[in-house]
Amino acid sequence: MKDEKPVLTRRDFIRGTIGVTLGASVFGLQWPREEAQAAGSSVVTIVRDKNAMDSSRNVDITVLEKMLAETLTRVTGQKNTKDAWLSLVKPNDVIGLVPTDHLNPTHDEVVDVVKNSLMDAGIPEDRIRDAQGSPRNPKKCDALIAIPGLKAHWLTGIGTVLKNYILYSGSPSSYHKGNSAKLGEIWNLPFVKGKTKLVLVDSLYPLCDKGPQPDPRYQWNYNGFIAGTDPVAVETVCLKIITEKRKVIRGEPWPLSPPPICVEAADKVYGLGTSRMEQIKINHYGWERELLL
Amino acid sequence: MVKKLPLEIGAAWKLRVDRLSFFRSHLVLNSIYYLSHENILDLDLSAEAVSAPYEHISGSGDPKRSQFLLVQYENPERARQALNRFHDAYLPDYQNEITAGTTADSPSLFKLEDGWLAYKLLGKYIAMVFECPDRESARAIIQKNESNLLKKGEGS
Repeated sequence: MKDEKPVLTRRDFIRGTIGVTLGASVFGLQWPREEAQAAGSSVVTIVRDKNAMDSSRNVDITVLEKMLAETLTRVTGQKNTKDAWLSLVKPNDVIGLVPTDHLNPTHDEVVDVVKNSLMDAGIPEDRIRDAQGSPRNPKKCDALIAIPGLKAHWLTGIGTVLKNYILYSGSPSSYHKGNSAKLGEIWNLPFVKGKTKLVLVDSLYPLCDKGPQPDPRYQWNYNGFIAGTDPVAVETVCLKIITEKRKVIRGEPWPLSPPPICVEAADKVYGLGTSRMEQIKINHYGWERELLL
Repeated sequence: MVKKLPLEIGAAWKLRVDRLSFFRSHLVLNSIYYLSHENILDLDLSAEAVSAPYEHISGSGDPKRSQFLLVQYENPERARQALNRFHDAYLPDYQNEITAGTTADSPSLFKLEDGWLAYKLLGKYIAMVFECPDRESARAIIQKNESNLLKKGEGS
């Protein structure tokens, strides 16, 4: 007997028919079709420094501060970090920082550097909060700064930008397995939509296979920040880096499995940004060794 | 299970034993070779599966790889039901000709977006191969695995 509901398969990914097969929202909502308008081009900024973290995984805060300053000015086109932050957030905003909090978490030093930089820009400390976790957290914030750690994921292909907000769904288990393709719809929830002002990926020590559990065989010092205002474009560049590193490790192409269907869906179904590399301009600054792009 | 796979198919295909995997869960299968987030092969603890690529031995360019999958179920009826489920989920655009008592001599062959797919019901086993460059190699990979199973007293 044939299933009534079409099943998302490898063939949908290859054919690019994910949007047709994805089916209903986990929330049972109808997203307006205009959400899936074609995304324009996007810019992703990568800043690396070989001294950001040493072989013993000690992080140099001073180097991180410089990296963040360069990232902010490059992403925003502003002359200094204060102007850069104030071009992204308002002085009275309550700003939620959203790091990965466990299993290859965002480095504490990265979160601290971001927080301190915001305070230096004049944002009061009591208006900067940790917004990861419960859906209550983003509801209290005017702006969100996503600071995920770069990692592959054995159920969703990649577990970095789009998955960073999974707890905001209030039902994270609903977004594993088949519904992981729908992670993008969480970004369109009313209390999340439009609040993310910057995506800053902690790619100091990424994980390129399985995940989220760490595996030192597949982790390495990339020593970088990957940043932008288009979450899908940032995720796409992260994917490219992971995929290229996998190829280096095996000496032959080693595609991610399962493929990161959520990324294409975030573009074509939820209209969150572009997943097409030809529409993404990558600006790289700093350490060039094994850039993987 | 692992020993059931022939190391070579004629002179053209060689098993990548360094990429051989044994599993029982569709989640593990997906981490090796993604088919679907749903359990379209009805894998559970009563089933055993192995998968590995066969690599085409050629002198030029990047080697072609076809992914082979062999699943052993509790009994032939479970295998037949699983293959039906797979066909309905993965090949809804192709007619399903598997019925109770299906004893086709040849594997079923389908030209898909990423190459040729072939499958065959072999008693309590399902043999499948994905991304073959042509019909003949898909057929050859299935048939060689079938004859290997028969030699080992299985697949009937």
